[in-house]
Amino acid sequence: MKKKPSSPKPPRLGRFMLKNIIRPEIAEYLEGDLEEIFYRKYQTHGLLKARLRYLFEILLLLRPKLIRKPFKTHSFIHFPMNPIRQTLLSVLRRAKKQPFTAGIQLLGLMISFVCAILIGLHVVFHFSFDQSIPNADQTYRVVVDRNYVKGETLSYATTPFPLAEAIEQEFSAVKRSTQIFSSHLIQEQAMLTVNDQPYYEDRLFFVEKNMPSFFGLEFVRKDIGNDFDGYTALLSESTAEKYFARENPLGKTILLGDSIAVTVKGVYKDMPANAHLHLPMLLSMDVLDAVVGILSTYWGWDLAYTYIQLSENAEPEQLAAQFDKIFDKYTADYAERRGYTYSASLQPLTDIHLKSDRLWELFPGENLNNLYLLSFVSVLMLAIAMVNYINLFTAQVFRQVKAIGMRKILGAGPLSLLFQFLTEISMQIILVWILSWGIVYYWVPKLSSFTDITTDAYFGKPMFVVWTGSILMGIIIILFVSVYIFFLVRPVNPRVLLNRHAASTYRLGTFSKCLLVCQFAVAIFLTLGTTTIYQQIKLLQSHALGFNKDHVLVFSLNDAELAQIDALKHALLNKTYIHAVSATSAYPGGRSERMRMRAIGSPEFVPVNLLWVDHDFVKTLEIPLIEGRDFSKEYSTDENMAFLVNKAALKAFGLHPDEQPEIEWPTALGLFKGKIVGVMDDFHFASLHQNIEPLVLTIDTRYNYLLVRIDGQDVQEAIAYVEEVFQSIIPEQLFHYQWLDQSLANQYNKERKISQLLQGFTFLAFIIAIVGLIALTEVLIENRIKEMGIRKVLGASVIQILVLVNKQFIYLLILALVIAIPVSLWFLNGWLEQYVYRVAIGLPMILLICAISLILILATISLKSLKAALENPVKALRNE
Amino acid sequence: MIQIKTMKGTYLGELEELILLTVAALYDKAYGVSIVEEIETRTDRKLSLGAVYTVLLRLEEKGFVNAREGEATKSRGGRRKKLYTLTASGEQALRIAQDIRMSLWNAIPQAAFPSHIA
Repeated sequence: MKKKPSSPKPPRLGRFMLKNIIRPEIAEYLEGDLEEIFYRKYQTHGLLKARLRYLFEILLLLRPKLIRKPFKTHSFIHFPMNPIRQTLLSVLRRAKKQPFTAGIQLLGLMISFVCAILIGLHVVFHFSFDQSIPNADQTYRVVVDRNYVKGETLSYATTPFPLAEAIEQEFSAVKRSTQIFSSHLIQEQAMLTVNDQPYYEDRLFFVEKNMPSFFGLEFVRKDIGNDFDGYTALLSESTAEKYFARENPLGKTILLGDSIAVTVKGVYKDMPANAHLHLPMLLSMDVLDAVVGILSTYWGWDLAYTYIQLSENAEPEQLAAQFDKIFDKYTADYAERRGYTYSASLQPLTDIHLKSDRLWELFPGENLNNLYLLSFVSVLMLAIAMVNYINLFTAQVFRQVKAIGMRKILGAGPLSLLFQFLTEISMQIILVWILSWGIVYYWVPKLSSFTDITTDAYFGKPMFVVWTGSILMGIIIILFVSVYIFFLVRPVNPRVLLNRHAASTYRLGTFSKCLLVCQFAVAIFLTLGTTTIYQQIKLLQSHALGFNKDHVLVFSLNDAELAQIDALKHALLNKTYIHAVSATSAYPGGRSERMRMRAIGSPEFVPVNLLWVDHDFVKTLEIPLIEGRDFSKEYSTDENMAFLVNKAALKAFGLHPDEQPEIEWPTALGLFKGKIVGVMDDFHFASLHQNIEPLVLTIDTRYNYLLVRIDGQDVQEAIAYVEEVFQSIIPEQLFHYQWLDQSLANQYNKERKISQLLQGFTFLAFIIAIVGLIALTEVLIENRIKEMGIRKVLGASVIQILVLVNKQFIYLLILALVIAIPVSLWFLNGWLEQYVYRVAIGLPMILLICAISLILILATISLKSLKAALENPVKALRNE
Repeated sequence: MIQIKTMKGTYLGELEELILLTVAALYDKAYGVSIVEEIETRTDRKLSLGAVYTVLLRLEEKGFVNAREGEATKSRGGRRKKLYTLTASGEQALRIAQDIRMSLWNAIPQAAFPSHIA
């Protein structure tokens, strides 16, 4: 074999791999063998082939048996003991030496973990709706829009009754359909009698025969087939227990209202909490047909919730468009007769809970925006806590630089350093993770009492999803932080690390500064957000409604009470502390009738809201009249075709108050005419989510409620008297009332809950940020304590030293403000758009927030640095 | 039927048997490269060094081969060889493997071979 200085060498990459990857005890022999093969190949086949063969052989060496075991062999120098134990010791030692910093580091992380997990549970729960229903992905709800000729569109969650049958016959893509009618659409509360005991239910459901199988209800006991009809009721387990306790409910009789008797023929398991319908009791549609009669053929009443199941390859959107054909066939004359045409759309069953917000929803859904808002806030909180963790960990690592330098000198490779950080961080994160879940389990019942969702619902699928998610999150955090810290420390020369002043080389790095800016920005964003939302809710609750909502009792009237309404009113007004009593079809915050009316001579009908009231409605609610007069018993004509309208209605009719205006409206018997006798000032009948719409009052006895205005001085006495009157006139009824102002406040429950949650989170986020800042300042100051001592000796004043420390944070804070304020403004204005009446985010408020955050942060830093600045410099310099 | 008891752990895989046989056949000169080449010339099978070493390490753990260090040559860049020789238990494992084969061969009735002419 020739030996030249230029004799080819095997590729360097291969040699590197052999050195670093192959088990050291066989590396030498393998290297020898490979080189031998290389030279032989070189002599027979040339350099290129030899190199390729060599690399190929190297690649095939990558087998578990041949490669180095990571960290096990050869690393005993860096870890004289068990590495895990070593790391644990160093963590504990540090915690003992710096309990405050270590505590903050972990506590902040834990708080944010707990919040994130709880929010996660809540959000995942809301996204899991209706997925357990059989064939959920092929099941849709049919809903209709009424497109008024005048341009307005009303979107309903319901359809006309005959639609289901019509589309099932017409389209083969519709496999089956079922319909539900809910009593709450026509009656606030339904009364029923079981064993002579009266009960009130908010909603009774009348369903078609196939409904139980359509929704996959599981029967606990039954004596019917899969279908049910006739005067039959099915109860959910909880309802059965409520009515019959431990008795067997099968065959028992329930009395609806006063007259209709139905027999219980089955008990089914309650719907899961994540179903958009909760069905305490199902009644056969036959019962409804018997009472109302014309439903199944009458198109004008769109009060049925219609669900269909499509065949697998059906296109829901195209299908819904074809429904127009059916409307053309059956409701062709509606445009002329009623002023609107129908169009239908299909909602996927699983979208109903989050994405549907139509008129006459069966149950209120959840606002998707609020869920996004919550998730966003929890991500922000996690970010803040992470920033704290990383910054404090970095600072601590720099305190330990000597140990790291020593390790490097003793030959610790980069991997062994990475491994050290990895174990340390994993240990902390795992500890935090376990503690957080412990707290979560303890807190879920509290969350559930706050959100009115049962704990079981949270402990089901959401728990599983969030559990997995939190493990993933933990792993990502561990990897991210350890790799970051590793790259921070790795390039430092061990000689520098071992230098006596090594620890004081720690300054805020660019990345740490960025993190701090983010943290400040998030804190500012949250503060601004919470303040705005809080003010918006205050506005909603304190906005002048245009009538007096205080001290008004609301009673829901049933048939027995309606029969005695005059006697009731008369008896109530006997006492001076009862100011006024009025019976009405609806009260503010409730649902009014929709009608179309027009001024006489005007070509177009306009949609208006109509209330049927008695003479005292305006007086009872103290609605100011701006024109004309109130209803009065002195004018006998008032009881026949006289109207009070609000300003909005007058404008919609295009009328002037002083011209004795008359209006007309279409009925089954032709056009009816009436006279406007007075004009009310605009008041908020609907919630503040909406504008004030045209409202028309007329006298009619179709009452549903009794409103009683009592004196604010003698509330207890007044209520006692009202109860006495009710008991004496209708003794068999339960006495049940609510306050008007409370019922109005309930309209904004969702906003209030979100606001409370956000306030809590903001508070926590702020605390985490501030406390993290305290800990960071402490580290920074400790590192510069000597510098400060020297400066003081040389004549620096306390103020100068404070400015020195604060300066670097002020820049960061200003940067954070510049980032956070536009972002928050954009975000919050978007959020406020859902309200017709909204607060403006003004300059004063922004300035206030800036000032507060500036003062808070500077105060925090100064508090810590003041101690150092005031100290005798001798003390700081002594141990040199 | 003759049963040959194999001790637990003495089972030889196909490649293990092949390499163990080659180690035995090469007697004093069995090391990575020579084993690869021997198998290549005899069976036309190209094994990678990694495969051979994996098996050799396993055979060493099972105690079928002994390893010692050999001389370093120039062509090896001055690195030593790792030479393998058969141990007594290695020999036993080979014999058992052969016995199993033989007993199976003996058990085959002549008629089972398609080449057998009746």
